Amino acid sequence: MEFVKVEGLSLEIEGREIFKGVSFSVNEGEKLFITGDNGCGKSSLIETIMGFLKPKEGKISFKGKELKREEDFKEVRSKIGYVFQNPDDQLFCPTVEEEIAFAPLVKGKNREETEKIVREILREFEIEHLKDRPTHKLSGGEKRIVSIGAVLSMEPEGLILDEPTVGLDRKRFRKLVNFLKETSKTVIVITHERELIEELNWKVFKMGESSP
Amino acid sequence: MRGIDPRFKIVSFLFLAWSIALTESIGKVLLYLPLVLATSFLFFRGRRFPFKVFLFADSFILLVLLTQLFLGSKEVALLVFLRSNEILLLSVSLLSSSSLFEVLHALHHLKVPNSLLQVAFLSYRYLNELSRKFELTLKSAKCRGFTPTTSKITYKTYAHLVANLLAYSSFKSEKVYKAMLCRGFNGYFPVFRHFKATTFDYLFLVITVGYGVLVWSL
Repeated sequence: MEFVKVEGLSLEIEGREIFKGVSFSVNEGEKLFITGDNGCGKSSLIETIMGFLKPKEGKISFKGKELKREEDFKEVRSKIGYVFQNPDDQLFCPTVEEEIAFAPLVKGKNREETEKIVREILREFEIEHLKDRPTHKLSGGEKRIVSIGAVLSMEPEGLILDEPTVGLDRKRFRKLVNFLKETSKTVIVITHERELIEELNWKVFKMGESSP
Repeated sequence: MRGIDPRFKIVSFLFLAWSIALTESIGKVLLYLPLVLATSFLFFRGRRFPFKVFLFADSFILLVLLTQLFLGSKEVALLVFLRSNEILLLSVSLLSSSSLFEVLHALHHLKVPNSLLQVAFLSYRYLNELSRKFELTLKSAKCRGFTPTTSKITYKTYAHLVANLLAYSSFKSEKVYKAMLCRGFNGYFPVFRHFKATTFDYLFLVITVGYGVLVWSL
């Protein structure tokens, strides 16, 4: 089944064309890279899929259902974890622990369940030592890992990661690559990182070219 | 002092500050001093005393003092000096021994409206970032040869920096709001780590408020 399907999508912001006629689809469990030149509208495309930008024309479907109203996009946002390009935009809670606990608590999970999720994520990304640190005082790479962890705590069905490797050191880069290899979730990654593209060998959609 | 539940610290601070502020005799104000000094001692033990904060605050109090000394009475001047410094010492030792987030969280439990607390928290969180952004942009301008003088170009550069900052904060607020929506924000800001009041917290409250009541009733 198609997880996300985009057909003939065009976007204009203040009269300026951002992208035109973009079409692609990702099946459930499938993984896809989106690449393209700087300014070709990769991040805007994701913001359109998440319902933050209104397309000029085209269709977006999630699990076979066309997305039209804000309620439809709310459902998408609860099922797809979106890791922003700039982790500073993503982190808004006072500490790393609160940041990771935010989504489970908002979803109505109880303390014990939330505690378990937080512990697992801190352990999986080896960031237990950052637990009580204020998020705005972390290094760039640490912020990146925490923002991925914060999104994973939503337990989403799919993930969209915008330039997730920027600022990561070698060890954390390997950790992320291994996570992406092992996860069974549907994943879309926007990246320019050749090493990541070559190692994971997923389907690639180049913005500005025809659909994969 | 850090281990005490912030809710109890806020309540005892508010009560003591209120009673000190309303005391009109120097003798009574001096009776509060042992308690104020004891809390300050517990807080400043092993750390540097913030002389700069007190100098800054006292520079304003000095104006009131001078006015009272020359135009009013010496007794009122002394009273103003003692009361303001006692309240300042209390606020530093009781409130700044918790993080801003803990204080806001405690205020939520003390029934302060949520929206007000959210605005306060996000303002603190992002003012910090905006000031960092401003410093960074200024550094970048200096690296490209900018030297602040009283010239037209300096004013223009500062105008650009401030305008840039305004545009950045608007852009940033939109982005952060989107990030919050993406993670299910629905107007309610959940907190994971909650306070747990201990016998020691109750003891602290009884001692501080009890002392205040005792002095007040004298």
